[in-house]
Order: sequence, then structure tokens, then C-alpha cells
Amino acid sequence: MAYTRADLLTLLAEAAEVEHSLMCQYLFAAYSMKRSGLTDEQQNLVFDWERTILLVARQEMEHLGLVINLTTAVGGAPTLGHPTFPYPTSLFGHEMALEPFSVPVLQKFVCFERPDTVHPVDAFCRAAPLTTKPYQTVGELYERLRTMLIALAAQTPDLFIGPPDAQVVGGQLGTDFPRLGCLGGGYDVFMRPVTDLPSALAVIDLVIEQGEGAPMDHEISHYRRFLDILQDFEAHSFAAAEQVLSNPTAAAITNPAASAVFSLFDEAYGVLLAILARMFSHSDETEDDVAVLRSVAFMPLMTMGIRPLAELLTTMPAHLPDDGWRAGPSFDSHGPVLVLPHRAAAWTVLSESLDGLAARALATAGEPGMPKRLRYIAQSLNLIAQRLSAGLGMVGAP
Amino acid sequence: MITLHFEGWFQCRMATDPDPTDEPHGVSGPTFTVAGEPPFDRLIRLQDPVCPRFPHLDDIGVNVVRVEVDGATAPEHPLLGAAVSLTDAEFLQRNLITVPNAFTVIIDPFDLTIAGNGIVLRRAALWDVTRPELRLDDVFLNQALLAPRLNTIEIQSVIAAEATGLVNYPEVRRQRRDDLRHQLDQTTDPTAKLALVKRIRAIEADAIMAGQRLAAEQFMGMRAGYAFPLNGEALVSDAEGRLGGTVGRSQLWPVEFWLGGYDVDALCAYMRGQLSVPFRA
Repeated sequence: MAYTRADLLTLLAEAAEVEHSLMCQYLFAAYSMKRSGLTDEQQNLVFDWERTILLVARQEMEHLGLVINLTTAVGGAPTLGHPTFPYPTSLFGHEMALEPFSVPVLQKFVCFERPDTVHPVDAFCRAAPLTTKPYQTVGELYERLRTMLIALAAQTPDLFIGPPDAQVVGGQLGTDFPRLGCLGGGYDVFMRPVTDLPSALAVIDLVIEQGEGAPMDHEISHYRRFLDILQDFEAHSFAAAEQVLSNPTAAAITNPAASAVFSLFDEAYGVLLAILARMFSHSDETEDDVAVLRSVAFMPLMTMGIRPLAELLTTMPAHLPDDGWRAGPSFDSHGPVLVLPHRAAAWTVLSESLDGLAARALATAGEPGMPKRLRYIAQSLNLIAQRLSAGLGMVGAP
Repeated sequence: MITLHFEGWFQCRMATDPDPTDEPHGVSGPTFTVAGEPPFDRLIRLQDPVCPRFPHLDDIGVNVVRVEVDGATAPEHPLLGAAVSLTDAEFLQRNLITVPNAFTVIIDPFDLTIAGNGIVLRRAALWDVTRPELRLDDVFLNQALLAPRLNTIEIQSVIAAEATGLVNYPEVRRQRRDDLRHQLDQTTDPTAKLALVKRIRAIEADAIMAGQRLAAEQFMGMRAGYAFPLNGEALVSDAEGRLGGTVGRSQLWPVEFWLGGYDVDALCAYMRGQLSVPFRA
């Protein structure tokens, strides 16, 4: 079958969307888990499960990064958006939806990561897919990518036309441990460059192995990790998660305090995606410039902004009066994330966005009734904004 | 000149990345609280640990181990054995927001006290002596102020290994797991059992969480070196005149030390260094 570069870029965009959406769902479930009201034994279990789900989510971030490296390598632009949750997917009858930790949600995650060797019914997959996409597992999606890459490389000698220095690798992100003979592994993330067919296929192998498991190493696959949590949870059976709204929207959250934090999260997520888009598609930035973007997005904005805001939301009453429901993050990209094309203008827009976010966070944190933790988060956002502003002065410098 | 050489184990109960730095219990990084312990506070405790963990139940304390006066060892010096402490000190970096590079960890505030035998020497390193209230968050973009307080870093440090005894990292983890399992067999207290179970499970997870295992090993082998002057107002208390002379307070007091061998299971690390103070007998 003859493929075109456009076919490949379309499938890569779909892969990026799938990885991004899986990551958001895993993060949402992890952040919904209880931090109080449990026995010590239950808290031990909850922390273990949350730790594992966050690890898987980080590897979905890695997959998204690797797909973007693939995309860049064949001449495309990064895809960082996804439809608003919930939305249908071809992944065996499940919706892409933000839902708190529960048995059905874990079953859905097991299905998402199902290896071909496991029967769909045994992996809690439903009978019919919700869309007509020609792949029903993540593994099948990547096998299609592999087929397409091999075919295109055979028919197009100059398939890999992207600049090699545009690849984002672990050494830049701090995920390569600085030990002799240790490439990758920091935070369980392995970022690799794509410059030719062998490196492209190696990336696909890595994604499949981490999701479904290598033939000899199933224990560390996402599928196995989710199945273990599911079995452990079913064996203990207690309310491990807060009663968090599924697929939360601004309209569904009527508590003004939670609503304000919800807006901050939305804004912070948008700023993060915009910075990542520029970082992954940088053009005439110097190495120092790119380092500034990385120093903002990866990982301060993720770990000191996005995560604590999400954690805060899942502890805040969604409604007034409090009816027991808790708010949550939307992870809404509000459509495709556009790459800002011109360096100086892009940096100014990004810096203004971050400054505005920090100012609103500080103002919100100062309002009466706001959780104490919001103050620390707002301070962090403000310091991140200062770091980017300082970096902005470097743009165009020799 | 009096040079006070100090060393010993200290405790720091902190979440590490990718947890946010204000994470109270530790979830996605290699450090965590266990049943019966209070939330993390990030404080660097050179003395008086909070809920110390095996194998550092009774050996935490940084103390003066050798004193030199004008370059000659003074084996009877009254500050020999004195306790070294830091007031409210934390490792600050907010997951790389306020430091320029990975592996840079700034200690702020840095307010050092050496006290023993009726003598107290205390002095802080200030970012700006005219504004002692400034903290790292206020100055982190000022490279000139920051530079002296930045640390050097050594990975898989021989010096740290020889000082701590943490020579073969995976073996240390395996031995710890076995020791904790043995303790679990002997323990009847339900809270202590849960605490041990959590620590054992974390080490057992080394087999399936490469990032956590590598982080645990990296912390164990890492050595951060610091060298900067103490420039704040100096406090010297020696009511009984045991020092036998006068300590200069108008000059800078250079301090040089390293921290290393952080054990993510026990939440402890080792410190070795020296403080020099001007002295006229």
C-alpha cells in the first residue's frame, strides 16, 4: 500500500492526541485519591497506587514527547491539543473521560493498555468500538505507524527531513541520569531522538513495550501495573478516592472558591501547552533560549503549578452548600494548541501569559476563604514567570 | 585563627521531585513519610531528629571532631565535641524554579551555631547585609549574589562513600530491605508494622520502578560541596572565658563543607566541613 507523508503526519497527530488524553485521564484518577480519612493501612495502599499511576502518566508524557520527536523528524509540527472530555474513542468501547479512581475506571485503563495477546473480554474491553478508526488498541495504532514508516522510508529517501537539533532528548530534560552507562530512567522517562528509520522504530518499540510489555518483561508494563492495582483494590475494597465530579466544567462548579481555582488551572494548563509547543518547535532560538523554555515548562510548571492546582481542586467542594462533591481539573486544551511562529513575538506572548497567570493566582490566593496551599502555588507561579521574563531578555542576544 | 572541623549524620525530611516541594507525605519521589510520622517539613536537622528511622535511631548529630588553633591541633580545646546546628535551614529550589541548574541545591536561611562547654558561636550567611530579611525567592535571578552560595556536585562520590559506608548502593538497599523484614518479624506494634511494610515495599519496588531505584542510588552517591563566608552579625558567647582569647566578629567567617550520601529510606545524610574564625589569644 502506498502512503504519503501527509498520511503519516495525520496518524502521528492521532497518536499524540491519544497519548495526551490517556495521560490526562491517569493524572485525573491519581489526583482524585484521598489524602485524609483513611486508616494508616489504607493510606499506604493509596499512596502506592497513586505513585504507580503517576509513573504511568509520566511515561504517557514521554510517549507524547516521543511522538512529537517523530513528527518533527518527518517535517511536521507538534500536536498538543485534544478534544474536550468526554469524547468517543476507538479504543474498545470506552470513552476518553476524566473520572475519579474506581474499579470501572481501572478496568478502562487496563483495556486501554491491553496487549494483543490478551483477549479483549479479559481486559474489560467492551464489545464495540465507539468510532470507526482502524485501530482498537494503542499497540495497533503504533503497529500501523511502524508499517507506514517502513513503507514510506522505502519509497521516500528523504523521509527524515527535520533538523536533528530540534529533537528533545533526555539530557536536555534531566531525565538521563548523569551516570556512566545510564541513558534515561530519570522519573522512569526515556526520551530519545529520532533522526532516521532505526531510531524511529526504536521509539515505537519503546512505547509498545512500556504500554503492553516486552515479551520477557510484562511486570513493568502499564497493562500489568493497572491490573495489579485493580486486583489489589478489589481485594481491599474501601473508598479510596474523593467524590470528584467526572469531566468537570466551569458550569458544573458553583462554589466560587473552587470555580476560581478551576479557572486558574485552565489558564495554567493553556500556558503550559503553549510553552511546550514553542519548546518542541523552536526555530531560531539559541540553545540557551531553549534551555529557558525547558526550565519553565519541564518541570516547574508541571510539578509546582499544574499538579498542586489539580490536587487542590479535588479537595475543594464543587458546590455551595457542600453536598460532598469535589471539584477537579478540566485538562481542557480548548481546541488545537497553535504554535506561535515568530520567536521574539512568541516569547513576549508566552511571558505575558505567564505574568497574567501569576498575577491572577496571587490575587486569588489573597481572597478570603482560599486554601492556604494556594499561596505557595501562586508564589511558585510568580517565580516561574520571573524566570521566563529574565530569559526573555536573552532573546536575540549574541 | 581557630578552625573547627565537624562531621556527622543529619536528618532532612523532605519530598523530592517529581513531587512538588510542599508535598507533605511524598508520593511520586523516592522519599515518603510512614505511619506514625508527622508531615514533611524540609528542615535540615543537624541535631534532635524527628522520628528518626533505623539505622539512624541514635547516631544523628553533627559535632566538632577536631579543633586547630593557628594550624596546630588542640586536643583539649573546649569546643571539641560541640554541637553544630542550623536554624530553620531548608534545601530550597522549588523543583528548579529558583536555581539555575539541576543538582543545585541552596541552603537558605544559612544560620550556623556551634555550641558546647558554655561557648556559643553563631552567625548567618546573608544575601545582603543591609537587608537581612531577604530570602532565596527574592534574589534567585541575581547571579552575583547567588554565585557564592551555589554548590558543586559530585555523582558516585568516593569521598561520600568512604565517609558514610554506603559503598555499594544496590547492596545497601538489599541489606536494608532484609533488616527491615527482620524487624517486621519481631514487631508487634501495628503502627510500627505499617511503617516497616511501607519502607520494605518501597525498596522491593526497585525491581519495577527504574526511576525510583536510580534516584535512590543517585542520592546515596551524591556529594554537594559548599564554600562561602558567614557575613551576618556574629554572636560570640563565652561567659567563663574558656576560649582564652577574643574571636574576631568584624571579619568574615569562612565555612566550607559537603553534604552527601542521602539515604532516601532513612531520610538522613552525612555532613563534613569546617568553620574558621579569627582569634587572638
